[in-house]
Amino acid sequence: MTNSPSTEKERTPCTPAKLIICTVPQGIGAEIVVQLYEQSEVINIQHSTARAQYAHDTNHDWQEVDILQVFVTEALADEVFKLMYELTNLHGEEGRYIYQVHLPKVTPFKLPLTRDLTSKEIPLEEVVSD
Amino acid sequence: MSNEMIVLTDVSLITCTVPRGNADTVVAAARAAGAQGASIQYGRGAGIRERLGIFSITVEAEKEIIQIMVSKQQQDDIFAAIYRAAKLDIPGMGLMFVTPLDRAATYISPQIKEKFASHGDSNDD
Repeated sequence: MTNSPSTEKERTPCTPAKLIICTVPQGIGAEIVVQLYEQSEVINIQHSTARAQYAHDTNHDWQEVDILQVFVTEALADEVFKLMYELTNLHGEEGRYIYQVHLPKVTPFKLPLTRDLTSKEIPLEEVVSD
Repeated sequence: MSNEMIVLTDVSLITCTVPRGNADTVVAAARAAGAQGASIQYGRGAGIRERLGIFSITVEAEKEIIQIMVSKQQQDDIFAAIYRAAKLDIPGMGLMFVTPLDRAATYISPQIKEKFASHGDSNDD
């Protein structure tokens, strides 16, 4: 059976959101991720690495950097932006920056609760295939 | 020193995807046109290659993704400089787009903060 376009639309309950991206020297990104999850309610964080070049470096040397892509609801964007500004120590050190992009459509992101998974009490024999 | 958050507005992000090995040339051209910096990530092109048959070997799969934050005033100049340096008019050489940003922030030296503060004072007169 094929689904009509309207049915498909109903099945993807997207909402607008904000994407806040920060670039920091390599090594400090992981700690910022931990702090963001502890101190705010972000939807999701993606952590990657890159190489970067900055204007203050007159030798044009490349530096290894961490890039954090933080997805937040529109309502929390100001709060998370300010928190990231503080966690990255942006006011005190060179070689780091942060910016925010509007995302018109973002799918919901939820992890399954461990409680729900374990409450079923599935016997091991059923999990292991023959 | 004040830790007051200084937010930059009227900024854009230029994203350019080029075959691996071309990014340094592109960044050099962008910096010559006034860009303050750039970051480069690695990726792999996919999609069209599967439909190219034996010709797919002529399009490099490994990519470099360049991201440059620029002011709206510089945007067109830097975009044009990258377009020429990356030879984006040649098929298979890459793709570039501009994303408007809500806001941005970066380290601003005390000297520049002082300069803007004094400029603001003079405007108050």
